Amino acid sequence: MKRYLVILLVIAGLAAVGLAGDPPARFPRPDFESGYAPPATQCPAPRPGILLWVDVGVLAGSMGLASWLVLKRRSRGGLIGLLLFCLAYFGFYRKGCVCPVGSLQNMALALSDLGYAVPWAVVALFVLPLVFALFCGRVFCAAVCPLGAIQDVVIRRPVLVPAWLAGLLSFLPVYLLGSSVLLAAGGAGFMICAHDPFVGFFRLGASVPMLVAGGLMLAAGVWVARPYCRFFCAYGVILGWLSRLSARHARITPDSCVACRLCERACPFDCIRAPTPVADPEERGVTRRRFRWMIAALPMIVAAGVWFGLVLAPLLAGQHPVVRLANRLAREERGMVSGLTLESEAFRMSGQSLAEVKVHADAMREWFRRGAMIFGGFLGLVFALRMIGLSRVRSRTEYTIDTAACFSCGRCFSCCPVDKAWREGRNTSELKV
Amino acid sequence: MKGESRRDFLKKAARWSVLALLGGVAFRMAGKPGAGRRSGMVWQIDPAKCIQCGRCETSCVRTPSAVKCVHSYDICGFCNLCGGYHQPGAKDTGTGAENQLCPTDAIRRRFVEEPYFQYDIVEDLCIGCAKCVKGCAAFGNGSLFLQVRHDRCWNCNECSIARVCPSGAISRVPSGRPYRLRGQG
Amino acid sequence: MDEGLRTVCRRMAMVAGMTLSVAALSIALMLAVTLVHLRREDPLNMPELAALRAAYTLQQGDEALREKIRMLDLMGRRAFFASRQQLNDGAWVLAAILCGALLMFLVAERLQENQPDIRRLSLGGEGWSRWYLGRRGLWLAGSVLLFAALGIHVAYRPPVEIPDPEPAAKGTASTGSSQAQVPQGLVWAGFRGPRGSAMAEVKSAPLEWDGVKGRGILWKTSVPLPGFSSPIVWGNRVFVTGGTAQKRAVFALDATSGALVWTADTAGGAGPGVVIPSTTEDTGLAASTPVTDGKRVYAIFATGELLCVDMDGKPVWNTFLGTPENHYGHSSSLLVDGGLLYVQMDDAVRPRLLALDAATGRTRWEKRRQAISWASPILIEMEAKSMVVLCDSAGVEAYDAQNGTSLWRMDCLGGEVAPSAAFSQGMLVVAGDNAKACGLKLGSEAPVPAWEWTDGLPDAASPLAFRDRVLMATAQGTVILLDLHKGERVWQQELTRVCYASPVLAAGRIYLVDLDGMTRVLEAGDVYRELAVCPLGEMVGATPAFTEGRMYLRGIRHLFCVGE
Repeated sequence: MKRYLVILLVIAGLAAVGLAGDPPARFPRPDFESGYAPPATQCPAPRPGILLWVDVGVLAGSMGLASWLVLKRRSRGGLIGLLLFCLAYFGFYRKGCVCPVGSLQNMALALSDLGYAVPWAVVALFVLPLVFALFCGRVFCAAVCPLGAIQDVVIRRPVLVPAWLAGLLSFLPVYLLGSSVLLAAGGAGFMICAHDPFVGFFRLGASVPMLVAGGLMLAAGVWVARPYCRFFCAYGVILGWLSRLSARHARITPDSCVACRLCERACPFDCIRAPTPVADPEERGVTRRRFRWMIAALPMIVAAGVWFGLVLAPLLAGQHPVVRLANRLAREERGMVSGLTLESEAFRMSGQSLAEVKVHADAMREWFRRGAMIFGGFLGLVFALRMIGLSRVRSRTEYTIDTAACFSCGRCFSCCPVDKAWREGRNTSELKV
Repeated sequence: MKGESRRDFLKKAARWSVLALLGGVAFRMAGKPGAGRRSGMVWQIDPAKCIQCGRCETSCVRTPSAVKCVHSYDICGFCNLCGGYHQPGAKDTGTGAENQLCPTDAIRRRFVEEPYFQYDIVEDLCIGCAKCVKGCAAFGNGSLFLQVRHDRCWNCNECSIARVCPSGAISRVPSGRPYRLRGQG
Repeated sequence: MDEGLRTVCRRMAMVAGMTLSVAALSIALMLAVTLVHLRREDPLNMPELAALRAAYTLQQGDEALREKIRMLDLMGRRAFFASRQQLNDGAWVLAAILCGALLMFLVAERLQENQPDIRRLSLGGEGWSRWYLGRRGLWLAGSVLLFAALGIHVAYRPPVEIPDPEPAAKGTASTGSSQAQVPQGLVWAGFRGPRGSAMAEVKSAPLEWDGVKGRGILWKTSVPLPGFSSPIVWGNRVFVTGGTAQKRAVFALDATSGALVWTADTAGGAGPGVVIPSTTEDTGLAASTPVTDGKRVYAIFATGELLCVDMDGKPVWNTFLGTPENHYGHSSSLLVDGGLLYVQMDDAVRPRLLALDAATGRTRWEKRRQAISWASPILIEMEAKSMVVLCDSAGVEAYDAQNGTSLWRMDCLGGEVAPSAAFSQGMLVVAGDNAKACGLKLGSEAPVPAWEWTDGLPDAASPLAFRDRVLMATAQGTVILLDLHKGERVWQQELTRVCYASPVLAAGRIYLVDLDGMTRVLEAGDVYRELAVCPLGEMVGATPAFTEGRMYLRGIRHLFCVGE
């Protein structure tokens, strides 16, 4: 109800501005005696909307090809070729926009804002990689995403991120997913797009901080493979969840694992799980007790998350332009600051009253308070579920892929002796140790 | 083996339910009323809200900015002394740098008939600084105004000028009607 | 491939890759320097050029200066476009070189023996290690977030709220700003004082003075430019306007000493298109009275230039409303209230009423009006609704002060109308010397005509409504007091003196200033009684301003401050 009120207020405000808009025609248009007719104003048309469907087609085709290359052909070379093509097409030709990663925010905004309609092609951009992840794993990350591609080509001397640090950092994208969805849905802007470190390279120019951040990220990427994908990408979190359910997923070996240990160091992203030792690391009872404790603690952790969201709410709300304006105006009105910012000046020109801004800002603050509670609860839930997952002892006898984290890049294929035998058409069962 | 197949079944069930969920979201999106859903959306400036702050020049991801000054001839007064062309306080109407407002000489002035002149924008030179727009709004008919030029705009998912526009003048419009010209409704 | 050749090729590829990397780095550095240079120098906005241009507006036609401007402008533009081209080309070259370097490294890697693909440098966590280390990392993540939240919780100070609008200070045209803490008795903010009512909110007012002998005159200052506009007062500042074809300006005087504190003129802000209209001798270019809301002073001239300066005379905004087509000269005064500046622009071509944003000068609304007129708007509050009431050639119309909606209009006047409306006890009085005077009863609905008066009408001075009486100084030199509600004559006095200044009620007395500068102080009662007759020694066309114990009278040459 409140949201409708806000929308109505905004519309009323817009109408008021619209009425006040055009400056008066001070000089009437002359009657030309020479028969002169002024030219028409030229307005070049935008890129035809149909071309967005070409992008969707290229995306679907590339992902189909990537799935085939990963699952059937098991060809790293082919993936490199596709990756370079997609880097050129989606990155340098299409300037990185609109991409599935960013479309997450369009969807969030469309779900909360009644007035905002997402074009169908953008919906398709958002859904297609997820559908592919459900059936074939993260083939979008493997070779299609330009952000992943530009990082993939600079991987030179990958190091292992210590397991505790990886555990710590891998929670960051969950936080970014929640906050960027909340901010986009609240109309506070598209944070993923605003802080995209690589898009400046595709456009051959960006703000200096953005270029520096991108440069640093790429430089770090020489050692820490694909840092953005692993520790920042919000869309990757969803892809990871769905990839866990995938019907078919990239496998290290085309047949059964011979536990030769050759693939142990093949993955720059540390997605290969080695077989566990025969003996359990601790007594069964300890594990079981911890598992029960974690389940019991789940509501508490979610509650802690909600509190976290409540604390964060004003900061998140402060990202919204109207709240920011209201904060500024309040300080101006109380004489705590001197002068006007461009925003407050524009407001004072617009003819809206302070009371209107106050009502709008208060409604937005309330919206963000509720949203931030959900966001915090979500963070707590993910945290608790991850913790529960890590509480159970799971023994493995083979080298297996962590399907949630794996980008299906195909680097492990070539180090598997079974793969070699399969490729040469030999009988792979001979290799059994 | 039994555990294995049960897990497979659960995975399968989860997979199809997620697929159904995705389908539902897509369906809901597709069913939303909105002029832009078929044709796509592009960014445009509402001249009525624009306050000529100059951020269009500096905040666009493109250099020079994809925002240019546009001239609606229909509402132009064809003045000899033009608030958008001449420096404030200019006493004569010459085209020299001492009289010109545009920092890049992007407005060309052409004699029509006594005492009228036609003003044209050279878009390759225009940097979108809005100095002429300000002048025309203050002293003229407001026939000069800023617009996103769609042959130059890359149509970013979120326009980086819209992000910093102090008056919220930039918004998405359906690509079927991609301009907001003054003097045409 | 031969082992030796392979090694040589690999080394060559490595060296090429390294060289290209170094090249890329130096190009990147060069580009960064260019970028910083372009940002810092800003060749399109050089301050020198701006200074030269400013100098040129004062010395039009100075050829050396003109050449200098042209030269500098050309240099700036060249520098701008050259460095931009350099940045553009540089980015492409950099991208190409980087691609080349990457390719070389790839080739070198492929040529390495026994290296089918890149290998991670270190081994993965053995066995269970990642199981418990991962848990540790996750706990760490959780505690980082919680500690961050605790920190925010402790350090967070809620933002200040927008203050609720203060109730508008009754009786003044003030907008209730924090800077405007000036006692009510020291404010005479616009034409005919508070809200255009011509009723001073003072306890005392001067009774006797003599401008010729200097008796009762606190100070007398010559106003640099001529004008028929009236003085206004805010605290310790008195503002007057004046204008000639060369210069139109606002002058601020110190109320204590009469010293000129600052001058703000329209030059530089006027812009092209300003022409000097022809005006009659008794109107001139500065007949409109300025107005202030305690934050800014607003002044309009017959040229259509509208100037807004702050209380220190610094320009805030100025605009040009188009040259008014007016055969006497534009002379309607400004009104400001609630952040809106009301401008009557009733000229012969495009008569209209504008409401501008007082802070920025941007038009909030504009109403088309009937025909040319010279009356000034007054502000009336009826049933918690503010309306702007303005006479025109055919009658009187009321507009919603917020959005300009026409609330009602009454067609009861005709011809050229200059007197503004007067309001008291729910009765509105309008008058014009070509038609009649009218008493209109205002209610929640359209006004009801209560009476008409045709026997002696004012042509310039506005009627003064106070309590249940209305006073008119007619074009024939007669002063008439009418019953406000019935329109019946209470008294009439033949003075054979013409007044341009509107009569004002101050400290319970009526002040009537005629064209010769003679002020009659009358008792505000039902019998005509002159309390004093005070000469000024100068022609007066302006309505006096009153503050506590003082009266400001503008003569044709001087501004007089009368008081004890």
